[in-house]
Amino acid sequence: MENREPILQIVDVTAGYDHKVVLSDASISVYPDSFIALVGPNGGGKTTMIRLMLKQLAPMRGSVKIADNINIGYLPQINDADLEFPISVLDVVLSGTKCTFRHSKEEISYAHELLRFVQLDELSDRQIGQLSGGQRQRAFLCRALMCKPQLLILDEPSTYMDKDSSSNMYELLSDLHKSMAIVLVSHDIDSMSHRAHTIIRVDRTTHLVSNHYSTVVPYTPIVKRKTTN
Amino acid sequence: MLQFGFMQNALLGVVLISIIAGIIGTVIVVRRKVFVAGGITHASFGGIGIAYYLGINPLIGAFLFAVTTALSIDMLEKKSKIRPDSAIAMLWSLGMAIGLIFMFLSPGYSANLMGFMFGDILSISTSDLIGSACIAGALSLLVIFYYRPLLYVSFSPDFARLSGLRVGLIESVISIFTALGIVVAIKAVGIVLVLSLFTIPQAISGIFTHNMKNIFIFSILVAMAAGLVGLMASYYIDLPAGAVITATLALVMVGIKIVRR
Repeated sequence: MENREPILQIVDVTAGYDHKVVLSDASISVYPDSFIALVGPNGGGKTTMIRLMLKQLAPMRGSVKIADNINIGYLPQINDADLEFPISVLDVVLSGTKCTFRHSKEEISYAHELLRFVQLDELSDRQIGQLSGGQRQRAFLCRALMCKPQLLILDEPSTYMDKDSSSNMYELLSDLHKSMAIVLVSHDIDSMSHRAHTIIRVDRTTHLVSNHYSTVVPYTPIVKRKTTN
Repeated sequence: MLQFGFMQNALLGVVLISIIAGIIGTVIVVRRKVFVAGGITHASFGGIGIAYYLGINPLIGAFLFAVTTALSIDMLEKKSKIRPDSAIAMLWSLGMAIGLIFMFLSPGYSANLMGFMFGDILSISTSDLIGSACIAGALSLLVIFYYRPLLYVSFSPDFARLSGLRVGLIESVISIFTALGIVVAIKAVGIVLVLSLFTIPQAISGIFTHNMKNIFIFSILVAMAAGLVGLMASYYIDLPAGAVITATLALVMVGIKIVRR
């Protein structure tokens, strides 16, 4: 039973915006080898959960604990980016590290290594808007990986992707899961059910839908079980 | 024409203002803040009117109004429920109204009004040139040393914040330099025409390159070339320099578009 210390823990949190409560009594524990899918209706609080994890939002009640020395990589929703912006694929990836003057040789070669991993290195000089939706999302995935995260958070990574690109993305995530925890927001509960070990439905609060964590840590009893809808 | 001191000053002024407009304009255009820049430009007229009425250097008044407007728009966008474009339009017209009121209260306003509206590069003074040189120098150093943070904050402020950059500070510095740059350029081409210097060179550069560093450099060179050609042409055909510079830029843009079709 190694690895049982959570790297991120949200406990009984109430959160929202301008006194409007979006989430209450929400809890989640992320372990170093977790693969958690957050599912649920729009407006149910999935994005709020992510903002809590990224410390972009402070809880009104409850606590958000993040272990020391944990880097969190983040892949936002695809429609957040300005696709006409004059920036190259390589520079988008490099922007995943804090840079005050110029990048070190190590950072640049690591960015290329990541681009090779997602099969985009030949396109590293292209302007970001010239990539297809799936390629672009892989470039943004590399940006999230630049900080060498122990936890990778993804917000709807397969929206606007065709089937091939999205299965390609999920294969990459399976690969990445060997070395980091993954928390992923998805509408697509079907494709999540056999990939994520833990599925949590976020609908004003958190419901554990299924937990196959036992595939990683043998025989962990399911704490609470609820079926969707 | 170069034997005239005012012409030498004007040519040097065009060179310095091109550096400022090339840099600030690129930052405005890539961040899609052109309308914000329009608001800052016009609101600064309020400061010009008050300073003129009080008998102090109008550019000081313009700068104070421009910075206040830039920072207010920033704040309104983040904290208030007013729609950002409405907020910009309100500050835009309020500034113009204040400027007009104080201009009318001052004797002999009409000649100067034209100068502020449409530019008066031939009357640029040595102290204006020193001010422009300082701003152009500071901007060049900032862009050389802080290119990366500037690129990342401009592309995605939210992500830049996550990766630990001080986005608020960087955005405030951008706002202050935008205000400074616009005020200096008003002297050359006037409130009504100033945005042409901050957008057309960038649009022309954008046809040839998708790299922000190159857009900085090309925009400066394009603004400088069109500015010098426009200024000399205006001297020989005896038309207002600001308008001729703007027309030159537009002609270059249209010409390139036609050739590259």
